[in-house]
Amino acid sequence: MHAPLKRTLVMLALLATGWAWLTPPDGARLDPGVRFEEIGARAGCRHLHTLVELSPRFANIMPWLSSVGAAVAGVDFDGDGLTDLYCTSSGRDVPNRLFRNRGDGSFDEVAARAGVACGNRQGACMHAVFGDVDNDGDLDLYVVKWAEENQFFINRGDGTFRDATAEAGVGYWGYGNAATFVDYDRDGLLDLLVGNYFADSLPDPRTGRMARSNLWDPLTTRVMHSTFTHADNGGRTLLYRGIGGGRFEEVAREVGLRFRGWTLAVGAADLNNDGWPDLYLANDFGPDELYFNTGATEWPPRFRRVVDTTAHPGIGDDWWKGMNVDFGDVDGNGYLDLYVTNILARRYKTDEGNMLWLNVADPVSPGGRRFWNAAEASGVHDGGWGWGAKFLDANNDGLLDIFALNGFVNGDVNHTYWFALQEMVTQTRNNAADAADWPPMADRDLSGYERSRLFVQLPPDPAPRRNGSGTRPPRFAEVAARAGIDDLDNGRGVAVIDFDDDGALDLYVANQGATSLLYHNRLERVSPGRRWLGLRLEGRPDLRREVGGRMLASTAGAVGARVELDAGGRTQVREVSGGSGYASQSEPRLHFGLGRGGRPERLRVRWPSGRVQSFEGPALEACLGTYARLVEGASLERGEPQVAGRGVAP
Amino acid sequence: MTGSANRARVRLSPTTVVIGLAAVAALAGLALWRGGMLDLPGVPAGLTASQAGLADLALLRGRALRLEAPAGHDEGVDPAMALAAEGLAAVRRGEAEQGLEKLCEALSRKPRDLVIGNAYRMAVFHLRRTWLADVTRRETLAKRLPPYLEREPVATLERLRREHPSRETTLQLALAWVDELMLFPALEIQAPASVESVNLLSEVLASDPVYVPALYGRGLNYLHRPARLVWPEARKAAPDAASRDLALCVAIGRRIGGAPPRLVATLALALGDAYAKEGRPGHARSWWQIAQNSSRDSALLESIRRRFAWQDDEMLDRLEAELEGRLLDLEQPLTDLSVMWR
Amino acid sequence: MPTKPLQVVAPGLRDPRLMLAVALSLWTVLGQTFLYFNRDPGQIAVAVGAGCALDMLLAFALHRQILVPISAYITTLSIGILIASSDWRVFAIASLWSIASKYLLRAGDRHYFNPSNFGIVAAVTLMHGTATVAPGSQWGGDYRVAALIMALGLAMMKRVQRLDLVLAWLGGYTVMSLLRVALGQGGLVFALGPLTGAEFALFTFSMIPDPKTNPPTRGARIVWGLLIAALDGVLRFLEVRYSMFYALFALCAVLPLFRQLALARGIREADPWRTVVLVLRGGPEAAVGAGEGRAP
Repeated sequence: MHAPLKRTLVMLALLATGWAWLTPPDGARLDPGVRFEEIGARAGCRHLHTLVELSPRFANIMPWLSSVGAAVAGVDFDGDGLTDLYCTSSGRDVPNRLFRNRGDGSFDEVAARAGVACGNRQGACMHAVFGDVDNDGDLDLYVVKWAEENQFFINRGDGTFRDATAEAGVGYWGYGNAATFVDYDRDGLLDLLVGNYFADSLPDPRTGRMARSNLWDPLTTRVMHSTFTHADNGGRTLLYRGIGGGRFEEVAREVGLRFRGWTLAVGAADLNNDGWPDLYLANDFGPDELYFNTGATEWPPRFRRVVDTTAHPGIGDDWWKGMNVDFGDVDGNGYLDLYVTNILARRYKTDEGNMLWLNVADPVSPGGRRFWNAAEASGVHDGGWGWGAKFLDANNDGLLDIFALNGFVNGDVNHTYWFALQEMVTQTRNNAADAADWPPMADRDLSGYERSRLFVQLPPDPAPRRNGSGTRPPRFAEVAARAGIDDLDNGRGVAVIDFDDDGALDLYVANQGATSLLYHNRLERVSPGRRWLGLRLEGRPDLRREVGGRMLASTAGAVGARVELDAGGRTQVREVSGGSGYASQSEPRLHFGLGRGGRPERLRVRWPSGRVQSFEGPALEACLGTYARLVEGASLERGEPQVAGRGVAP
Repeated sequence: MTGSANRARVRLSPTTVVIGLAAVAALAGLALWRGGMLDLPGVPAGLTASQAGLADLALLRGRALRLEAPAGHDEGVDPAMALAAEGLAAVRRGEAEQGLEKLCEALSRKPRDLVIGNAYRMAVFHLRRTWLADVTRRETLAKRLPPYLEREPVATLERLRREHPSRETTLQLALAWVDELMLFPALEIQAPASVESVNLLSEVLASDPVYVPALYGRGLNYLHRPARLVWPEARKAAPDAASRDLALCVAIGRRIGGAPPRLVATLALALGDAYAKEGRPGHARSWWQIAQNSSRDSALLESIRRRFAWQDDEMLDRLEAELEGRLLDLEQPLTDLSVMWR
Repeated sequence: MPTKPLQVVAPGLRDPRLMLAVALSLWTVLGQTFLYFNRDPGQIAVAVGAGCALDMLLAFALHRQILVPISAYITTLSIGILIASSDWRVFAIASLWSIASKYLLRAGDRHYFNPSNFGIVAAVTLMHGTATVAPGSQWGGDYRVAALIMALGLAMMKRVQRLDLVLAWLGGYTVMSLLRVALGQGGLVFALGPLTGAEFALFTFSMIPDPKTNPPTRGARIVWGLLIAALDGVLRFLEVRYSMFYALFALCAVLPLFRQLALARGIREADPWRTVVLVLRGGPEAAVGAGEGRAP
């Protein structure tokens, strides 16, 4: 009969209409409201990253092995209030670069003069991170290397550094790719977490005894990961605890960091809001590591590993390739979420993808928190072959966006290495530990020529549920190309900085084996009138507080300080970071977007020493549009407004 | 009209009906045995009120009233009570140190008296609280409490327990630790104080497994531990620790009976909260419902009404905030035992 | 074609639906004041307004009737009470869907879904998670009030001659609950507790016994009630949240299949429910049973 069928179809049409009416709008046609312009050459801060070249015994997969090392740290090393840039080189005898911000939109290269050129005489630089170790108000530098002792430089305060590696005791020889400064015991002295990739020693095939593994003069080619999914033969993790006087003691095993993953990125942040920084190590070829700090319940503090075996995969229980970690509260529930990059290749590998771990309440997990991967639901899981990624409010609308780099090896696009790779992965033995077994890469392409991703967060549904661990994740639209970011280089590290102090966050991208790029944010042009507020925190290590038998203090850089800004019915959360993410360190000062006509209502600062300060009213509103300065225990100081002549000419 | 027999009607012979009813009755019996009416744990037979610590609540109420009454020289009032009443009056007059001394003295004469012990603890609590509030208001750097308050009541009660070990003295000491964590809510102080308290209460319960005040105290300890605390593997509590203790409390209370409605409602509300914290919202709502039906107290009804407005997915966050608020409500401390006899 | 004269269709004073509408309205008022419905009166108004308007419009357009929308009122008021959402559009859409289903989803001479049930199931499934049936109304405010409602409801069922259906449903629910408790899913109070709730009462006294959407004969009605209880029990054991509504929905959804089966076998019967009975008893010769015990 026709009539009933017709009527049923009409009903289905009505259901579909209602469903569609309530479907949240898709961002595909969205105007990104943000525009970037690449000005690296004009600004004089272009750096050509040089690749590491290992022993010829690894020639068959040299493109793979030499695909890491382009790192960048965006910090103010000379204390003039302007953010500078430090970039690593991985090629033999090629120095690192230090670009000093002149304040007029251009940079000076001063690495050699400052004494931090390094130079890769034996090994190769892979990562660099700054932190004020001696609490004298200027940033010291730690450079992580392969097959050469990591180097530690103390900032003299006059724009130059001196090598203090030996006295500090942090000159580890191994294959590191990740490091971050964190004050895990909140004693006011910075600690240093280092994650390593290759193991530093392997059994010598001739004698069977453990010997140092030198990838430039290898004893064996059996140096690769044991499996592609559960590799545990990577380098060990190091936790250098600061003990004062610029010295450290290594305590990783004692505090519970025992897993030997192939660590590519590390980060620290307080994930359960108990005031104690927790750790995340993103590992390649196997499970990432999430550790909660037990500082609130035991002394000295240790780390308790959290593994969620109920999800597929659950946090800490994945068999994927973690390449980055960054922290930000994207859904506004007051708890920091995580973004971890991974691999997704259309046609070849679509079962993984980047991960957006949303932090929600849970009755039984340690710390009362659970993480669920909302990447696909939010639209941020397709990042290509991902590397460094950061949360940032790119368009100053008060919602956190995500910028993610990608691209592995640019090669001949007609010959991809994917088939060979998949074949290795699907073998029954899944044993790829011997590099000699790998098919030669030659000039094959492997997820090369990928466009970076800029995921802009869409405004939430009209009636958001506040203060709930809701199951509706935030949604994003990918707008990089439309926003002017369309390079096809293989990005590794990204520093989110505001080099011209105009309140619109810029991006400095370090590309593997290619020139770096400075993307200047031209927000004022496309979305004028969006307000913002910046904050620079300075801790007072001398103002110690006794709490429950512990002496707590903030480091001079206030690493780990938690700030909450109430504005427009939403609360934005930021934490001062000691450098998190793959090969990336963003500037330590905090930035909040407020949207059009936004007014900051209340600012709450929780210092690592436990001290809480709160600001509202005219004192706070006066800081609008500037980078305010707050010294622990003192009052909020308005920053200098953008000085005419400073910044880039339009 | 319907109802007239037709071919569609199932033919039911009497035998079938009887068998059917018997089957249902058997099922009901099985269900009762398996889950019980309220899914509460079993209570040992022959349980007495004094074993459970719930004997003579009326007597306790009387004593508490006499303590509050203006100091008159009643005959028949035992000297310890009289001393305690004097001490309380002195504290109220502003002679804190002397008043506390008298209370201490009274307590050491009758260490197992819950009324005197509670009065002493509450007096110290309010004195410390006032002192701390003053300090904050005046923003002086005088962070130390005066010597007669500094290590109290823990020091006195520890001594009392050493000299007169009993379940009542251990209970008072355990509650004193909770007083501590209410006044100093930093997580780093809460955690060890709670551990101390739970250990003491577990000690009591090891020899007196049905002593309700200790059960209630331990259940509340577990319930109010902030979920965000990360415990080392060795020291972490079972996820249902709170609901187990509180459910046993409720079961014992129901067996003994005669509890004032407000107490019943408070217990049911706490049990509901425990279930909510463990991620069982259905059970939680059932118990909140029972709490609602048990009492007409407006404050209690208001807090239950708030809970019913929570959706499943926001329940944990809201509950944490609510529990924290309750813990830090210093006007009506959680550890005030007078809720038992009021 | 001669135009049909305009008719006014209004419920008579002895129409049982009137009693149900009054009871429901009273209960809504109680719910807003003493019980914990936590509803926004505006949203209830939107639900009722949209649904009744559509019903009146369609009655006018299709049958040239001026309808006093008593059925739509009951349907949409149930929807307004049960659904919780922060978005007002959900209420309008759910009401519109439920009324539309009355006109569009028909097998034989009548609709085969209960309209409010359809609206609620469609809302919680298709509205991207913005619509739920709020838990606050799962329990009654007071068990004495709940007992009163139960008594009144049963009395009403006697009047509309659906007592057998409701008793079968309640009995089945009780047995399934005992089974669930016996299998360890909690205590008796938790299993039987929902009996005292608004959700349950609305389902039992206004959704299931809707005169147009259940079987015509006593035996068939008892079986229908038991089937709903059985399916609901299984879903509750699996901890599916809206088990009752899904159970009724699923069972109703099967009706058009029976219609197709009937047509294939040459059974010509307008009433979809009797069609089921006939198909189950097999063959066109069973159509002789038609004419007995028609539902009012």
